[in-house]
Amino acid sequence: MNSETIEYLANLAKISFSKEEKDQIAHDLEKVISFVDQIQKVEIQETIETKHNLTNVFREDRVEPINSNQNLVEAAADTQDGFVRVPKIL
Amino acid sequence: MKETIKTIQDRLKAGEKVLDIISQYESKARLEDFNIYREVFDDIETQSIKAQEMIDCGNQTAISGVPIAIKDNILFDRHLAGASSKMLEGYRASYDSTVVKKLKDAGAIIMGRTNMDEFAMGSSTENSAYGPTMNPIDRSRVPGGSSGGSAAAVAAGLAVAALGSDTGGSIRQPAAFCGVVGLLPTYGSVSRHGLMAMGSSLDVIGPFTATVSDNEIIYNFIKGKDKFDSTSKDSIEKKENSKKTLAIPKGLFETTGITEDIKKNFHEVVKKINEAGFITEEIDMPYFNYALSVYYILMPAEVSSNLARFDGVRYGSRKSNDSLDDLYVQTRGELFGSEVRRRILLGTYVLSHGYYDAYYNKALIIRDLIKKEFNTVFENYNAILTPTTPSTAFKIGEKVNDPLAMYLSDLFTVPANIAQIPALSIPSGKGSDGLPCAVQIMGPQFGESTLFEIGKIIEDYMR
Repeated sequence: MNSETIEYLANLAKISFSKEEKDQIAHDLEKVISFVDQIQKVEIQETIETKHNLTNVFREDRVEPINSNQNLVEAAADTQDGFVRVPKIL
Repeated sequence: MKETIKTIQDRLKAGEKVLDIISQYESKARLEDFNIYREVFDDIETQSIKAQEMIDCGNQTAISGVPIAIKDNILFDRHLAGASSKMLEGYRASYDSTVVKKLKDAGAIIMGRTNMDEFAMGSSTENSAYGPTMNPIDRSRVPGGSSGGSAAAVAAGLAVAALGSDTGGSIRQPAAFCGVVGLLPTYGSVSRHGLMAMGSSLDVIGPFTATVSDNEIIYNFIKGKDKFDSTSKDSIEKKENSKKTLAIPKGLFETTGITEDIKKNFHEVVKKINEAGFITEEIDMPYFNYALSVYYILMPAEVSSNLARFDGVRYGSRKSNDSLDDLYVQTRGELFGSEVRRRILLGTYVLSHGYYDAYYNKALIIRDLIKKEFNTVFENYNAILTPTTPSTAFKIGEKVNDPLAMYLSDLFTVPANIAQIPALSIPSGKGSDGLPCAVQIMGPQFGESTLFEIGKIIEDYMR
């Protein structure tokens, strides 16, 4: 877990870090990973296809109005004519 | 002296008006200097008038007119909600969370939003972007976290009940540190609709109260299947287990960091429980100790997904408009605190190519083994008993620079979230330093009534 790994992860997660923070975080994450590594000691007989007691929850495919008291677009930092404005994408 | 739901009801029956009672709470809340409330709401008077109308028409419920605080990550339509983060400064909720809707419909008064660790990440409320909350029992100490403000609100008599959220102990641990009762309900028993998500397979909303009876009352009001939360379920009727045996995991005190005060207090509680007619037995639970590692893999993974929505686009502030990438990277870099960024990175790591199998997948498998282990224990025992925390409330600043030390304080609480079972933390006396101690009772899914029953017995014995 070094500064390069942190840069790689920070790029995946779209978060900026200062140089000092990168070193400190590498150190912190190293400690946590060493701790959680103890799970490697557990012997697993099963594969990931463990049986989950999950059932799907369905509803009728029917449009129902939502009671929204506010224009949701208002929450954005930059809007125009009822649209959210962002920097150029393409 | 802390009031209970019954004291408020008695006052109302005696003819006092909701507005008068609530004004007393409001003045105290506005003057408090523990940094408990992020905001005391300015529509309290309107809420009180509505509740009075309910009472005057004879439509009141057990909690009409009762002052209740909510954690800053629970949505209340048109009120500010920020998860104690700069990322959501100025954000107004556009709908009611189901729990708030239920409390409002019952005539309860929502007093304000309480301080918390940013995005519910932390065990001390020191990770709030707005300063730590002080423990009302000792201002130099933390109230616990992440629902520190809610726990402190009840402890300081600034609300009769408060809602918090618990993902790895964030209700039970601050309840223990502040000397109040805190419940982690069964996963799915309380709707998460309107709770800002942290770990979607772990998060549960639950109540803080001064007594076990009050906790049961609030739980019964907020629980229930909700069409807006497809992970929610109604309580299943359980057959009564006539045995009175409690299990204590073996080797509980073999980990370092558990104080002598906690050990001594726990042994005293066990003695009292035996006197009350319960048998306690130590049993082997080998997977129990892996819950903390499993948690610090699964939770950050879920966090990294859930916090991807905070990109500066649809809500909150923005830190750059130069390019889309800058918008994301600068906003998230500057408006998320360090613990939040730390956990997002950790989650990104355990989900990344090359590590996914060794960490995330393996943690999921061990999670199943932990669940099965609990189920086996509950076939023969009513409940499992442990201390809630390894220590009493620590000093502000003591652990904030050592993330791993902070994580280890979740030792006894995370297993219940991993197994998605309910757990109740009850005050159990004081340590040699005069600080509150607490014990935790864990039960099978939807076994809340067992927890309340045992909890009341412990509460009575502690008086």
